[in-house]
Parts: sequence; C-alpha cells; structure tokens
Amino acid sequence: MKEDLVVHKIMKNKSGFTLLEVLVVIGILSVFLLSAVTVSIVSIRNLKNSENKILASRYAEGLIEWLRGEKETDWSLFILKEGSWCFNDEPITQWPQTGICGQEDANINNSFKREVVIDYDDISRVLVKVTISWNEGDETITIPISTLFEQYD
Amino acid sequence: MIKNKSGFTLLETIIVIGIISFILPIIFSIVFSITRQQAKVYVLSTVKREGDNALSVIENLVRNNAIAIYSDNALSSQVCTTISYDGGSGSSFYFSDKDGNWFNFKTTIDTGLLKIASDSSILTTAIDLTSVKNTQISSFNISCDQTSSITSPIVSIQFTISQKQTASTRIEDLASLNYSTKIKLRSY
Repeated sequence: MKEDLVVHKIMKNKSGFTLLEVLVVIGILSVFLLSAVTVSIVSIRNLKNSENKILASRYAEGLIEWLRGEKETDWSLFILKEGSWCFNDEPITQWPQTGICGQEDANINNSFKREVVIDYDDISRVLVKVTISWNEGDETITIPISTLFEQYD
Repeated sequence: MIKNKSGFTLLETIIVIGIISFILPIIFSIVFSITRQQAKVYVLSTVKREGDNALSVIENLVRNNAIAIYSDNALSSQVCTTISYDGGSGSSFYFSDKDGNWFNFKTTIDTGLLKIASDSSILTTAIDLTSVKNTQISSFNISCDQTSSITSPIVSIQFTISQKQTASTRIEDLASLNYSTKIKLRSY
C-alpha cells in the first residue's frame, strides 16, 4: 500500500508540464521564430532590391547608349531635344511623345520609370541626366545617372 | 491510473498535428521563395555580366581599331561609303584595321544555342564573347549608317541576351536584356 502511494505520487509529479514551463518554452520558441521570420523577410527584400538594381542599371545604361547613338548620328538634331523626356519603351526605338512620366503611364516591366533631362552645359557640350525610379514596398527608390556628351569626342 | 497517464489523448495529438501542418507549409514556402529569388538574381546578374562584357569588347574593338567596313573577308568590296548597309547577324560584315587585317562579330550556333563570337584574320579560332553554358542570344544585328560621303560611318549593334532556357524555365522568371549601341568610326 505504501509503495503504491509513493509510485502514485511520483507519477503524479511526472504527469505533465506546469503552466510556467509551457510559457517559458513558448517564449523561447517565439523569440527564435520571430527572428527567423525577420531574417527571411529582410533577405527576400534585399534580393528583390538587388534584382531591381541590376535591371535599373541596365535600363539606364541602355538609354545613355541610345542617346549617345542619337548624338553621334546628328548633333544638330540632338541639341534640339533639350528638355525632359519619358522613355517607357524597352528596347528604345524612337523619341517618346511625353516629357515627364505620369503615374498612369505603362512603365517598363510595369514598375520602372525612366526619365531623362537634356540640358546645355556649353555650346558644344550637353548634360544628360537619366533618372530611374521604382517602387519597392511603400518606398520609391531613385537612381540618378548623369553624363556629358560633347560634339566631338 | 498509470494507463490513463501513459500518453497523449487523441485530441491532443490532433491539435499538435494541426498546428504542425499549419506551420510547416509556411516555413517551406518562405524557404522556397528565398531560394527562387536567389536563383533569379544569380541568373539576372550572369546575363547582365555576359551582355556587358560582349558589348564593351565590341565597342572597344570597333572604336579603337576599325578603319572601314567590308562585306567580305578578302576586304575587296567596301560598304557603307555612301549608303547604309545592313550586316544582318554579322556573317557578311567585316572591319578592317590599320594593318590591313580584318575582324568581325557574328552569331554562331553552339549546341543548338546562339552565341556571339569575334573572329579575326590574325586569330586561328574565333573568341566567344558570350558562353552557351549560361546564356543564349535571341537576336543579333549589326549594321551601319552613312549619312553623307564626308562623314564617318556609324556602326549600330543590337542584341538581346537571355539565360539558357530549359524546359523548367518559367516565363515570369525569364531574364532577358536588350543591348544596343552606336559607334562612330574614329579613324575612317
């Protein structure tokens, strides 16, 4: 009888976790899980960002190459293009109709906005400022690239 | 007494399995999307690196060495002297340099895929500018514009490069970049 009672007592003690133990375990687990989720979200965001940056730099270089081609073809026509332009076609085939990209314009890949401002710097020199911008989450990222075109170079 | 406490009840087991089956797909989908995004960035950077390399090699060679343009490698019929000329995919578009050697850029087929290769009279074999190991060329065009006989010809190069496509490549994952440039022959 006495041994039975001891066994029963021991079993009762081992019969489960206390509320405190469960809370501690859940607390530790949730700290781990939360940090894992945060790390994952940050890494996905960074990967998406680097993908967009690769594309954006290609689009910017592409526009600069195309403009350089226009400059090489005919300088006197090129300098008449002073002002701002919205190049939303990829690949670029011609000068666009619009000057500044509107919100509702169909952008490159539905996300990139590509604008250029062509400005006189000197009589035989033109400053070209290309701006690529896109939305990532709720923030807008802008990459400005500018270059100088000279009549004879 | 002992029998009752010796394990989990059916209800407890069902609840635990339910929670696990809810969490596991979430974890796997997060891991899967990270891996996929990583693959996408890797493919895109490879495509851009090869495209940038091909464009810069062509640009530098043409800008620094090209004197005139011919439609044959014997350098007998000069083109682009008064009117524009379309060299197609480059097989009849040859540049001459100051030593009278020729060099050209054209697409060649390697294991069923297109690549850009650069050949020259001083080379025994053509040099690949892109590799079919990772990328393929979907269009390549080289042409030249000549507005008048006193100006230098302007060479236009245009190509589209994308990753090597396999049966499992999804259309939305396709990394395809357009390259085009115009180069004025300096020493014409």
